[in-house]
Amino acid sequence: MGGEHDPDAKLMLRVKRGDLDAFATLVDRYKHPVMNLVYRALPDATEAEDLAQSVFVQVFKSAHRYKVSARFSTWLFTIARNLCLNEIRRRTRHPAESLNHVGGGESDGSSHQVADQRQGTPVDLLLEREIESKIQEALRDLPANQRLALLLCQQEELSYDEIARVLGCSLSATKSLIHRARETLKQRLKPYLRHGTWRR
Amino acid sequence: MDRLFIKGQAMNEKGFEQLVSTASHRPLTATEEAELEAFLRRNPVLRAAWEEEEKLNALLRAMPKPPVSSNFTARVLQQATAARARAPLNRGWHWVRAFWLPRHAWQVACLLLIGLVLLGVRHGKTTNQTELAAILPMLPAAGLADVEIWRDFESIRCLPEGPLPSLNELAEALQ
Repeated sequence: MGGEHDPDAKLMLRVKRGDLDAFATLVDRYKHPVMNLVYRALPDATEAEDLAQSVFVQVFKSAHRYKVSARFSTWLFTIARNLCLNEIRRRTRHPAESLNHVGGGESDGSSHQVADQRQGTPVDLLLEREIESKIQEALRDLPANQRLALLLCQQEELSYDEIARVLGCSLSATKSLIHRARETLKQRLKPYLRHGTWRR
Repeated sequence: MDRLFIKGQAMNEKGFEQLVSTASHRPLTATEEAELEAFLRRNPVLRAAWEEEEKLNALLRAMPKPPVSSNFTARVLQQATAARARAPLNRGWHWVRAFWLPRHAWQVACLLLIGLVLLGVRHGKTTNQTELAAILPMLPAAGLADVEIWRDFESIRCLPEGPLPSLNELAEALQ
């Protein structure tokens, strides 16, 4: 899908000309999807917000190279995916280098925890938290490429073709990555898929 | 998803596969749900597997969204502005840094190699010309044969081997 009729691409062209208001609009529009991707993609979720901010800063710094060859979201998620993979690799090489863990500075990790605004009986909430933690654990154990493919698949605004472009692989390879990730999750979460409940 | 497809049910297999794939990406529309329900009624053996798929979809969709700081955009703008302030200093050297990216390394190496070969060829030519120019003044100009002498060189060189005809025979032939 081309980006000629993409309103975000038009905003990005304004950003290319140095328009900060257009940039702020894009950040507001995409901060939740990007944060969601980064938060779920990183193995420990610390510094997720810093990385999500880096994604947008990178978008701004690379604005002069932006071309309307695809939708803006494809370009944005490609940058997010690259930064996530870099961070995952960095953490694999230097597992003890998380600033929040080492420094114990401004953020002690609690600011990155998900605020629980659900309502229900304590038992329901306990069960939901358990399922959530199991899903997060299962996601964390997936290979990085499968995890990113699955998380991108949850972004409704991206088509399979666009996910393939973001991942830099063919459509069939993308579908295969998603399929394998889902099969692994189904195995890991089998007890919850059969008996567990998940109230929305 | 392999379990969802059974040989011999090829008629709606593609459509069913497509619907399962779509459902993992976004909630199905009412029309799509009706199509799926019709298919499952004809193929009840697939219902359990489909329900498992749909439960996983529900679990993934219901994962709570992580919170985003209220000053997220402001912080990004602050960093972007700072980056823009630094940019003019770096922009001129951007292309130099681009050359050192690993993916460009072999291209740079090829360019350097071609450049070195061209320089070598040019240097060789210049050296030859210089040496020739140095030798020429030393050649004895008077010792060189007159150009006229060499005019029949090719004819002489092409004379047949063996005994040459006598002058008398030549004279007769000319007459």
